[in-house]
Amino acid sequence: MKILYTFFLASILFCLAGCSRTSESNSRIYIEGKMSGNLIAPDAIEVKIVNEGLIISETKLASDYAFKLSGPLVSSGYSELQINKKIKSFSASKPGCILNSDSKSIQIPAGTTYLIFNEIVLE
Amino acid sequence: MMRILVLLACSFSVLVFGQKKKKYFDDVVSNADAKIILLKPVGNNHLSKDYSTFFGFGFGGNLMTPINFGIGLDYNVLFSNVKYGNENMAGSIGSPVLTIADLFISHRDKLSEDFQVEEMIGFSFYSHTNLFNYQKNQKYKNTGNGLNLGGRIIYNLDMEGYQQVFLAGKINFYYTNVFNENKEIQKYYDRSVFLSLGLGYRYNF
Repeated sequence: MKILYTFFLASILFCLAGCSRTSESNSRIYIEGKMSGNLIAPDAIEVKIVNEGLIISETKLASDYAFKLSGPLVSSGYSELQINKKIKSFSASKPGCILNSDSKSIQIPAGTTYLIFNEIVLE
Repeated sequence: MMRILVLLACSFSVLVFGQKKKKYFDDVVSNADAKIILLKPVGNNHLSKDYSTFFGFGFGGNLMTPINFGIGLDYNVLFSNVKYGNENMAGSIGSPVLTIADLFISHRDKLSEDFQVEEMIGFSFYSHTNLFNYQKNQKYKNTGNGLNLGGRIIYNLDMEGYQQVFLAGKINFYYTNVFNENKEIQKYYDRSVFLSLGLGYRYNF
């Protein structure tokens, strides 16, 4: 019986050693930021992260016009930060973000999973 | 006459009470149980901050040997909800379901005629699934694993100890493979510790 227990313990240890660790195919994106400019009531401004056409996270601005968003990425493609107001300009913690032609969304390059918008100026 | 009566009473009691207890504690016994479970993730992490307490049910089986060591398997399914106001951190996903398979070694101590305690240590496999709010037919699934530690107090419902009720407490360590460039954010989403309390019924055969 001792042998059986030893074997069981050993198999547990092998399981532990074989743990699969973080993989980029299971990414979560995290974005935070603050808005300024010609502002209306904070809870009238909606912010969304869209990945592969799917809304993966959404919120309304807090009373200090800041937001935090996180959601699971469903594809390795780019994501978009969509706002229901027109954006004049923005500054991000990483290069590569582009303001889309509709002025209501910012394209976030693929592979970026952590991003801080120091300022998003609304029209 | 008196002597014969005493002798008869002694042998009767030995036969009736001795044998039944003996059978249970000297054989390999297997048992199956069903339980209801409350599970609370703790610490500064996604499951603890963004989800309310999990509630669910579980089934299990044990094999106990005469040397008071055994092996067991538990299968639990638990349900929760995203806390109101934390949807931005959880993402547009909801209806979290946690499926836990615990494999463990257990040790039994007899406290009294009616009470026993069991301590467990083992390894767990987790599946944590959510439904996307905007794409109901697609599931978001995370798998994880980690150690578990537990204990339970068992009360015998009948003389032979075939039927029992128990109260079980467990600590589960949960590690999954969520990736984020920022290590703090990754830590928030890829690990947790669960405290759970279960109340169940067990049958020995």
